[in-house]
Amino acid sequence: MNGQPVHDNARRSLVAVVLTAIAITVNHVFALGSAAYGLGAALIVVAVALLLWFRNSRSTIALTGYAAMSAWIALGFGVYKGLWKGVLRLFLGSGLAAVSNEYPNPPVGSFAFEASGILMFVGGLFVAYYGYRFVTSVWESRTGRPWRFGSSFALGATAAGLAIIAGYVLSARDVFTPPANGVVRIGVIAPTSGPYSILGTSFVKAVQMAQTDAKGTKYRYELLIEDSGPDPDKAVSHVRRVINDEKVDAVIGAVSLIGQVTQPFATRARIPHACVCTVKSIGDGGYNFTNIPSPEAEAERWVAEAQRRGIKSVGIIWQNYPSINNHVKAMKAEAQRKGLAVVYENRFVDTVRDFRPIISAGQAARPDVFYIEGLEPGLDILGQQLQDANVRNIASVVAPSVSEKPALFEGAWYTDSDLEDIGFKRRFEAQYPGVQFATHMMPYAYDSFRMIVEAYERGINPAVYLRGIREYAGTAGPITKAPGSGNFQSTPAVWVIQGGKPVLLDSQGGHTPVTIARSVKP
Amino acid sequence: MNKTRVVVIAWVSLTILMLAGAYVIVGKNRSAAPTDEPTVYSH
Repeated sequence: MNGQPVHDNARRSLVAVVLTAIAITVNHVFALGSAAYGLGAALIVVAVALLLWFRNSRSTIALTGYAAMSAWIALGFGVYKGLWKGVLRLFLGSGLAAVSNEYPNPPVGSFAFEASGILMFVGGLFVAYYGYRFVTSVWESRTGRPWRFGSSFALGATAAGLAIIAGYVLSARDVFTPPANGVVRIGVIAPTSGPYSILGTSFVKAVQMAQTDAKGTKYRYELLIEDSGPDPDKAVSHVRRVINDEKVDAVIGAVSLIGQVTQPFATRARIPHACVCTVKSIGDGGYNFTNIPSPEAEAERWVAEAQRRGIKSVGIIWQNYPSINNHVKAMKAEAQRKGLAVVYENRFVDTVRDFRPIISAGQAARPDVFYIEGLEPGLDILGQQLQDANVRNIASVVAPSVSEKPALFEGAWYTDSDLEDIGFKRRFEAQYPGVQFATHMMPYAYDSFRMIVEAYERGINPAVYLRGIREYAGTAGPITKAPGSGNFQSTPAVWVIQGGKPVLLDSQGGHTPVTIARSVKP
Repeated sequence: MNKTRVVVIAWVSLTILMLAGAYVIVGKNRSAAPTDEPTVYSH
């Protein structure tokens, strides 16, 4: 090499490349796993090799290769991944979301991930600076003339930095775009086949009913109904088709397992995803929202009713399923808080068909009430075997309302949606005879469609509109949402199976079905 | 102290500040996040 400045700058440049490569490796472990170590090693080995080649041969090709590699590290990893997707997302994105609903809450990773992103950005700056110094010092040593464009480069870099920040502020903002040809396309993703088909089918019908009810609107609202199937892995292709290929304007989804699949797709597409599901982490408040009574709200109401009935102990038999696990977890926590003893627990998998040993063990614990929760077909088999074992003291959250044979649970009480507008259910049953009305989902599916329609009719980006909702007159009572939250909250009510049918109890525990309380027109 | 050293020190200080800020944001985000039962499906 020629001269001390070239040596010094080459050494500093290489140090910057190595340190940045370490940050790049750590950052990419989260996405690539162990392959990230290969990436980091390749960056270091290639950089060292090019620099050695240049030192031994003074080859312009080696210098160009090293400069290109430094530029790739500085721009690709430093500016794009470190600054745009790291620092600006974390700091500017969070700040903008805090002051305006037009900006989504950015996803935040672990500290190691975020810190490595910051270090990747800062390291990229040093790679760019010392790479620049190295190349210009080579130029000076070869030409014997001083490099005179330093100020211009600094000015250009500053202007580029400001442009990137301005670009982020503009591009991260969700603005309203009138739908093409006046048609808003809404994807409805639910498992209408397999074990959740009863829930999925009635969910889809509720959205269709909302579509039918949306009359006299400025825009036309089309539904793209997609059967996700029950398997989350297989659902990926269905979700991709609806969101990426069909490019719908919004998604209404059902069932937590499928909602979890839809969540990242909706975020990437920057479209709202209203999910009638209980796994609250799906509702990130950016583009994804859950709309159903929370497990905690169900638990609070359930334990209050248990105490009102003088129940002191409970035995729990439940199916291993995300939303059910969350119900049980919340119920146990609330029971512990209120001094209700859990004397028996058994979580079963969906393949169990012989519940008799489980029921016998539960009876031996002599609980005041059995809390049971499951999905079909196991639910009704469990109901039948409980009946055969002469177990009548049954309670639940939601489950009897999704049973195909609710008579099996005669006398059982449970919490479910506070369906004040019973006319909604009657209209549904008249419109779709033979389709089961899943009380805990239908009103929220209906309301989710209404919310999206209201956003478009008011000329507001639907994701922005959903973020801004604090109170909403829902079909199943008031719905609320805390600022920044992605979880719409509502209070459930107590129901009982009487004469083989669900009957909504009033707040005094009487048996008075609640009559129409409000209009449900969108 | 030459200009380069000042710039380097400024960036190192800014980096430490950003790391501290990230620590606070990650902590706040974690405490506000819903704590669901681990689910069958995860990314």
